[in-house]
Amino acid sequence: MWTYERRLEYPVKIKNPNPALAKFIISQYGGPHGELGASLRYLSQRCTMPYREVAGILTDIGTEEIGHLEMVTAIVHQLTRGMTMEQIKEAGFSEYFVDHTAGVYPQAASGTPASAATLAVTGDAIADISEDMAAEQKARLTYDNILRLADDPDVKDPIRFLRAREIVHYQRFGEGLRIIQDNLDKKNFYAINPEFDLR
Amino acid sequence: MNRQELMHRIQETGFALTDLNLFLDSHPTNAPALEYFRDVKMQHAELVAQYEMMFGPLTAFDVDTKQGWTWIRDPWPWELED
Repeated sequence: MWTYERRLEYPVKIKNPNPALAKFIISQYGGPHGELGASLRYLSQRCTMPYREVAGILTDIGTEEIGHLEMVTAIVHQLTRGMTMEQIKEAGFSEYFVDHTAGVYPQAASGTPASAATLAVTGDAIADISEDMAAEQKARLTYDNILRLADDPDVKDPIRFLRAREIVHYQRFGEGLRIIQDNLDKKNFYAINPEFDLR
Repeated sequence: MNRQELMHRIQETGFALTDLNLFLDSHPTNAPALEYFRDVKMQHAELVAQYEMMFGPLTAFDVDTKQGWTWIRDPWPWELED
């Protein structure tokens, strides 16, 4: 069960509409390294994770990612509300506008709709956690690229917060991998899949 | 404290709890972290109680229906510019 808290995890307060920024920041909502995929990846993988600590990490990081998805949608919304037709045309936002107006749609910067094809649930503890560590690094580098492209300090501030969280999540997943390996045969971590063979 | 200042304090203590929550998942017996969690949890609960009394509910289950359905009365977080 989840409960909505009427607050953002970190403030998003953007004064000026700027659809040119919204065009690529939306990738962290519905793109290949975005927060929607992150939350679904972890909240799906947790079902068969046999170690309680690691299932807790997947649950709680998956939950925080929903809060991050909310922050990214708030950023995109605040960058596109009140935009003029001139700004839409100048920013090259027309292709998005024609289908979604100023709505917030989960898609990649390229326009591809959010897809579960960008995440994996292998049912194998080591494979899943290794994927999660890579996913956090891919989200981190996407935020790095957004920081290279964005020039508005109101946008950069919450993006820096989100970037820092990816690094913490990477650290926690690394500890999760260690916990998994501590539970396995030290001579051969791959002798069994604890998600399947220990049922 | 005005609404925005109080919300910022809640975001600070809420963030500390979120981060400690993750840390404790992988370090469940870490005594300083357990103690810090207990302290921040108390601060957070006090701030939330104060906020909800002055400015309205943070969760739907916290609505005091004697004042009507206050859950949908105020701007939502993504439009509020906290």
